[in-house]
Amino acid sequence: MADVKKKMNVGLLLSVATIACLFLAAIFAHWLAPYDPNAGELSERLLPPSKEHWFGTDHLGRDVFSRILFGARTTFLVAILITVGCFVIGTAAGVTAGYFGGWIDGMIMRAVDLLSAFPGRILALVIVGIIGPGLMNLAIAMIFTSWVGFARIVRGVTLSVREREFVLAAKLYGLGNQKIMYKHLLPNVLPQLLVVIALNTSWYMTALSGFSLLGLGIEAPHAEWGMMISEARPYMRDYGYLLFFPSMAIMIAVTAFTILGEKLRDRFDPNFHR
Amino acid sequence: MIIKRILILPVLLLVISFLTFLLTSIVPGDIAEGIILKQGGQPTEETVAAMNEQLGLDRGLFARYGQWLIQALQLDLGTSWVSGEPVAKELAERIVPTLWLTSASLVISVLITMFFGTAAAYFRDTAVDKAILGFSLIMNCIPEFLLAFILLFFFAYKWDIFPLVGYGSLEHLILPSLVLGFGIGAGKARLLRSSILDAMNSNYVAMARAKGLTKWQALKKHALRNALIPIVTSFGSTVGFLLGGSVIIENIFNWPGLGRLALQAINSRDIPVLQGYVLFATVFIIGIYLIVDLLYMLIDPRVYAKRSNIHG
Amino acid sequence: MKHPLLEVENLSVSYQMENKRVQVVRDLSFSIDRGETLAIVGESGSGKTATALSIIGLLPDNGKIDKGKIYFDGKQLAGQTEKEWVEIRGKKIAMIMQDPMSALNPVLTIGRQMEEVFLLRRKEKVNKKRIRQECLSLLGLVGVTEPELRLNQYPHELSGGILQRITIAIALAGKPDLLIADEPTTALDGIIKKQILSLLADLQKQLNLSILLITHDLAETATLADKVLVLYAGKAVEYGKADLVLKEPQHPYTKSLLKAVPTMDLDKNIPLFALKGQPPKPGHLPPGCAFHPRCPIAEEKCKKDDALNGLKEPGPYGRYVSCIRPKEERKKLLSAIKLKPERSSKITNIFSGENGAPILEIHDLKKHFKAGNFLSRKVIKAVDGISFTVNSGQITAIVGESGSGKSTLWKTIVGLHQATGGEVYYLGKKLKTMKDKRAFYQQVGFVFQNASASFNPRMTVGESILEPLRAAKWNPKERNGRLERLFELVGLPMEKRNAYPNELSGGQQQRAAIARALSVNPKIMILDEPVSSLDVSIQAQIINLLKELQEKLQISMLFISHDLPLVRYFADQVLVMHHGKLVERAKCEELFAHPTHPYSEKLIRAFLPSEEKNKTVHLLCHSSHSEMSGKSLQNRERTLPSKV
Repeated sequence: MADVKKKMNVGLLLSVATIACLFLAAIFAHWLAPYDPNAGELSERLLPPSKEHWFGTDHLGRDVFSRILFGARTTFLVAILITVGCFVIGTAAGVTAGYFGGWIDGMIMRAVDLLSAFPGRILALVIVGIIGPGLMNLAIAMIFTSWVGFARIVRGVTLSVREREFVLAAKLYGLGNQKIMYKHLLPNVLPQLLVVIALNTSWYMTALSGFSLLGLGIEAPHAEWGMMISEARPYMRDYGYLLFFPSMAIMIAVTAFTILGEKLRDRFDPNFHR
Repeated sequence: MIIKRILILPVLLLVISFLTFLLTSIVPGDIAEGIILKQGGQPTEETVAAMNEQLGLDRGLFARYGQWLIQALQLDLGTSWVSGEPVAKELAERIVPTLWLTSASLVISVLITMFFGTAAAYFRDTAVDKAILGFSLIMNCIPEFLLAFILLFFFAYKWDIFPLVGYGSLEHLILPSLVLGFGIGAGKARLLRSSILDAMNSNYVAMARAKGLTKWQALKKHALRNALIPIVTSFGSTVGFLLGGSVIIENIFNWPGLGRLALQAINSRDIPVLQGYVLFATVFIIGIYLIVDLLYMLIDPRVYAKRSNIHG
Repeated sequence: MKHPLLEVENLSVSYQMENKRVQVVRDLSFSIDRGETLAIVGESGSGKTATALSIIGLLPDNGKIDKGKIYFDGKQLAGQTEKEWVEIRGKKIAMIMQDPMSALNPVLTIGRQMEEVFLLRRKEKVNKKRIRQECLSLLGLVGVTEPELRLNQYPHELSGGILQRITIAIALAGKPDLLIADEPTTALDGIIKKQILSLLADLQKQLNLSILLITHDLAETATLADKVLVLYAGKAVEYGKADLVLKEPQHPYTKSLLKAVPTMDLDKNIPLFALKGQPPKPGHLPPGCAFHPRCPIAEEKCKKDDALNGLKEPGPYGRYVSCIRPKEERKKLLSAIKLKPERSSKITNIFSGENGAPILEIHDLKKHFKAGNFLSRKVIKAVDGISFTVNSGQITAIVGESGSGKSTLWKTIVGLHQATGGEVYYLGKKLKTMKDKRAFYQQVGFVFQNASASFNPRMTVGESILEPLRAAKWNPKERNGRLERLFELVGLPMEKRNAYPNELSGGQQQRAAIARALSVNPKIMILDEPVSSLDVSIQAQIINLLKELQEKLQISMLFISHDLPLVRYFADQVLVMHHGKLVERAKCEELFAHPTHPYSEKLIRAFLPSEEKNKTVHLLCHSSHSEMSGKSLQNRERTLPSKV
């Protein structure tokens, strides 16, 4: 038993540790960064990685390592913000729709159908296009378009849990709706939600970077991984490291969240084993 | 199922087109001013008023929406604020490249899904399975633009096998459609693998094997078709996803498709073009959903029965 | 040289679970001759399915034959390559499964799934027309009506009974010598069950087929089997000719099992015989003889020596019994103990309810569902005008096949479904508003079929049981006192209050569900198939418990079941439902002695022993010989047409 658990937890532990490190790096970027991420020395432009500049410097002579740390703050924290927003709105809508059913379900689900029938990225793109670029606008646009994913999944799980006999039993023994939601539905919905949270966060990071790449996210000169990659493009033939480090940063972060999500799914999804 | 879709989609069309209209009316900053500046003019009170009249912005929201809707039904999507060309014409020029890109990516993703998904399921828990799983995990995690840069770095800069960017030949098509196709195919292959494995555990596969079918025959003839049902259903949203992805990829590869047009429209606040783009995307998605529903009915005979189920 | 068709020698099978190997079949030997039926009987987890799967070479990836030999027609099967297996499966050995609904591919037509068997075999150009002809004649052989139509239908369009016939036809398509039937009737209703069994018996005679029947149902065994192998914890405890084993069981386990099965001639005044405890989980076997903790005649030695291992006692016709005690001594002990029930007191006066005050009155209750889309509206009358009364202390059984509306009925009574018409009176008061209904169902105790699903997996059993009381605002001290009393009532040890549902066995879970039902001090309990997912020996424990509670607490019960012998034993009043209608309502004895409606009669007949194998017909009834009453004997002797 112990043996198997250990094996299963390696991936889980590794991803949790990675996410924790990134999180700390994002929060303490001020202390950890050796240089000002936005101040460049043109005389020191395009330096390869060295003792002074661990990841080298970019075309404006800015320290790549510091920019990656600050980029973590942007990418990471905004992705988490979006996740929290979607989680709150989506869970509330999904549990309500799934538990009550009837016309309440009908209303909420028609809205969800509408929003999710349309590709989220295009809708977010259009919203950002109209209300203007910028990190906050981007976050709003993404929350607006992707809470429906949460709502749909939560509703599905709620429905399947609601059909379980123990919820029927609780209802028959006189428990109120709120109590049933809080005591019986949520605890059984939450584990599966964790999976969705982890997988979606990784997706938001990808999307955020993509939007920044298109110039619709953060504004220069602030650091963001996607934008760093975009800025590295003209130099990538001779200065591959400019592409390499931010790419690795994104890959590691996204993979960590994806693995976390999948490991959690292995644990929670099929059957609950204590 | 299909009737519900057919009924909901025009509503979707209306709501989304109205939504974009609504958003334009709360746009921060004066659009007319911006356009005059862009055209090199001096925004004065008169020129701004004239521009507003020219753009129709002096009228109420509903009046403008009503007019746009009536015109749109006649395939008249207005004129671009920037180029002055009819929006319908601008869109029409860009549709073909986008269709090339999305259909090529779709074909690649379907091939990858089928090949990798089936192979991983058949060779479950072996090295083949693990290699496919690992590879598709990475492909699934890697953002499209990053994959694009990596492929460009090696295939265009280092080895000079494919042209860097541009449009016009099959070689130009290969890298961008590989990028889009791989990302989607990898995710779906994982899905197909677990879907097949579920089906392989079912009683009907056990029965098929008891009949004397080999593992491969049972997989091919019995498990695969059932396993494909959820995958086919998900391809509707996949095409939407592709369309979204094409915005980024078209910009990286200088692909003269709708995605680039949309980005240009966003950057120049060219609302009619943006609205036209949204309208096109919606109609396109509606079409895809209809096709998916038809396919779904073809593979799953229970669809008819499901409709008349009672939920009591 | 004549050798048996199938000969299994010292077969041991294990499954890889998490990180250890669990032995599920241990040292099993048996043989089947041509045209012979062997029944392997055992409760869940006894290893019967693993045995069947090893014989057809379809053990799951984590399963492995550790040792032993499987000779089929003289050829060793164990350890064959996949290529060799493909030559055996379907052609020499075929298999049918428990649930015909899931055994056929939902997305392919019946025709395609049948043709496949023929297409597989013939490499050269095939004649489609001839294959179709063969499919049709096979369907005719298994008694499928309108075979032409069936070939173009999908599984979801057909009923379970027809589907099982079709799977049998598919299995026979390759002209196998041996048919493995893995619980072929478990998923089917009584009447259909009987039809399938007689079909199998017919086919066997017609085709000189050998059948390996895997079952937990001794009645099924009695109708079909020539030989019986009783499995317990992966080992054979008794093996021999069916009539001998069933008539004179020599192993205490076989004898207990036979006694625990409810039959149509049980004495209602005597508790069901119930084995104590529950079968061990594979991988957690007790030392010594695996049966000793439950054995009525176990001695010290049994805890150490694994009698099941060596001491086989060969008798006539290859019969053996795995018990450490010498035959004569065992015989004496077994008859002396008479396998006395757990409880000594005789149940007295349980029928007082007949004169009691009405608790629940139902008048012309209807529940109609709308179905279909706006193109084809239809109304499904799940409950269609049902009236009856439940008196205090009375057990009312609702019987009927699946889909007859039994469950919809109780859900409509308590108001979970909005009734389409009719009235419900509780204690003489009409339930009008939703509030009335809620007040009513909070005073009802509920027990469902699947106990494990009726508990929240994330709450301890104690918490779940106390939840109704918390909802009714009891204070913590009162609650704890009540919990102790409830646990005592249902016979659960107090330390289980902090266990999670999945840490309890099936029987314990159902006890906990009963405790929860009793927590609100109900005047009436609604039991929806409370024992149908439990093993026979556990089922008897729960039924005894319910009867005891009913006697002690004078609770009325609404008992929903498809198991007629059990209903006959348990109920005072019986309602027979068919297609949403009440076809017959009668006192229990009257119904079973003189059913007036043809459907009731058909239903009852399905549970009477049939005459497929004359020699074994009466065996089950003999097991409770001494307590048999004259009337039930009459019932039992009623002759039946061999084909229903």
